[in-house]
Amino acid sequence: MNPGSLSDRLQDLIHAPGVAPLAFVFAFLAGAGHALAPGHGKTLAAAYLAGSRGRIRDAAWLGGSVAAMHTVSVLVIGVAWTFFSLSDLIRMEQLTTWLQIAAGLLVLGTGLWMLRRHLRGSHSHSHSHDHDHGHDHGHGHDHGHGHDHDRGHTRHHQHDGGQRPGLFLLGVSGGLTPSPAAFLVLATGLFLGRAGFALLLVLTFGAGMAVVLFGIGVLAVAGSTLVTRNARTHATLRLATRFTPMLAAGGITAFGAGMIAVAAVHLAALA
Amino acid sequence: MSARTLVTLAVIGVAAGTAVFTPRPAAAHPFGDPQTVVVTPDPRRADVVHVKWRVGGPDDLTVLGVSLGLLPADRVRADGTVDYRYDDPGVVGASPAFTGYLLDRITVTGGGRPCTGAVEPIAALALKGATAGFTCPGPVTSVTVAVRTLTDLHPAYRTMATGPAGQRAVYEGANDTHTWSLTGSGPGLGRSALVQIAAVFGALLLTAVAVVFTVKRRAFTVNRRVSA
Repeated sequence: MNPGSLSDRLQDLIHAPGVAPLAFVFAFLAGAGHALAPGHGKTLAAAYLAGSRGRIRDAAWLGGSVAAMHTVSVLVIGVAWTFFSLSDLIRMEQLTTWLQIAAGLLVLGTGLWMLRRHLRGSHSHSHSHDHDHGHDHGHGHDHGHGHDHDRGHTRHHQHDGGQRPGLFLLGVSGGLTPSPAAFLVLATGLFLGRAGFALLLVLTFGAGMAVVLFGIGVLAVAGSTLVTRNARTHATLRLATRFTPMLAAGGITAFGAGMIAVAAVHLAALA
Repeated sequence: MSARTLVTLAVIGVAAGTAVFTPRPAAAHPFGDPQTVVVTPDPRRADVVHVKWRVGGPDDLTVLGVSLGLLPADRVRADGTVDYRYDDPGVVGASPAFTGYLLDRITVTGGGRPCTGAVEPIAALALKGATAGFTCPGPVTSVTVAVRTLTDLHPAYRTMATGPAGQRAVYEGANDTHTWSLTGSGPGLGRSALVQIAAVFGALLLTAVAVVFTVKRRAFTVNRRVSA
């Protein structure tokens, strides 16, 4: 394991007497930097939010669930490793690879669920059209385009809060595998008898991750809203709004399958 | 097409498109255990102490093998990634260069005098690690153990160390020696950790309750003002 520079600073600061405020700044930055590294579900989150035309609140949900799951994951693995001889049962690289397979399954499941929802939506056009008419009128939306009921259908789901399970699952999958830096900080804290301080640093690290993921989510939501707004005037964008949900669902499904495949190959190499 | 539309298309393109491109969770995540040492007194001889060393991630052993000249240098690529292979631990473990490295980097002193180390036969280095027995000049009740393994490769390496009766310590570049009691009891880190973790979660819960309470109270006050 080759620790990164920010995590090095964190581990240095954990020795400092009292609770060093600078350590929290480093923890936050390390978390933000970690969320920017590849493979953290940013693209998934963006695809999901753009594909399902989520709201800002959904982006917050996603960032929050990643941070919460990451903290739980680091805490459980850190305590099990330090006090319950976890490494005698399973090597860390095997455990984290298994966690990646679990995360991949969650992503695949979410992608398939989205695909099914969209496919079902397009199969029952006449029904959903009738249904959405009332809803859309109530909100003063304009009508007259063939694709509008597709949009109305998605919005209807959104008002139900129907996207929350998918968002929650993506968030959980994003935080399931702990980051090496956060794990090392907690393990160091536990070994030095400074568990509380180390846990606070891990929580701050999670907050850094959450803020970055929330920011990316907001960008996706804003982009998606712009497209929807412009779709009335541009034929290309009209086409984009029609296919984005399916494209996003397909992309998430493919990504989940890819995650599982990569982790399985890695696991086979470790065995 | 306006500039705004182009930006919009680009955002959506990145959002939806990159999801399909190569997933790289494995490159971002897999990590091994931290480097560890376990210090244990010999149950039959009061002058002997055993130190078991275990490497961190599988790539660390390959990097060490390369630095000792036991493995080809091209295993560590220019971008810092390591091409580690399943037979690397066997090559490293079988070499006297490695046992020499271990005895050079892990030293024990008892009663102010150095103890003589010998590495026990190594089997499955990556999984079980390597153990060195240190014989001190006389019976010892406490020993000072210095651990400097791998910090020559990267100063940021840490070693999580455990000793008799639940004692724990962290070795690092600037703090590479620790004195272990071979007879006394440990400081009870487990109980202390439980209390500290519970305190953090308790404080978080209290904060959350206070925030919810304040928000609801404010909403109630605003509602009352509006209705009045």
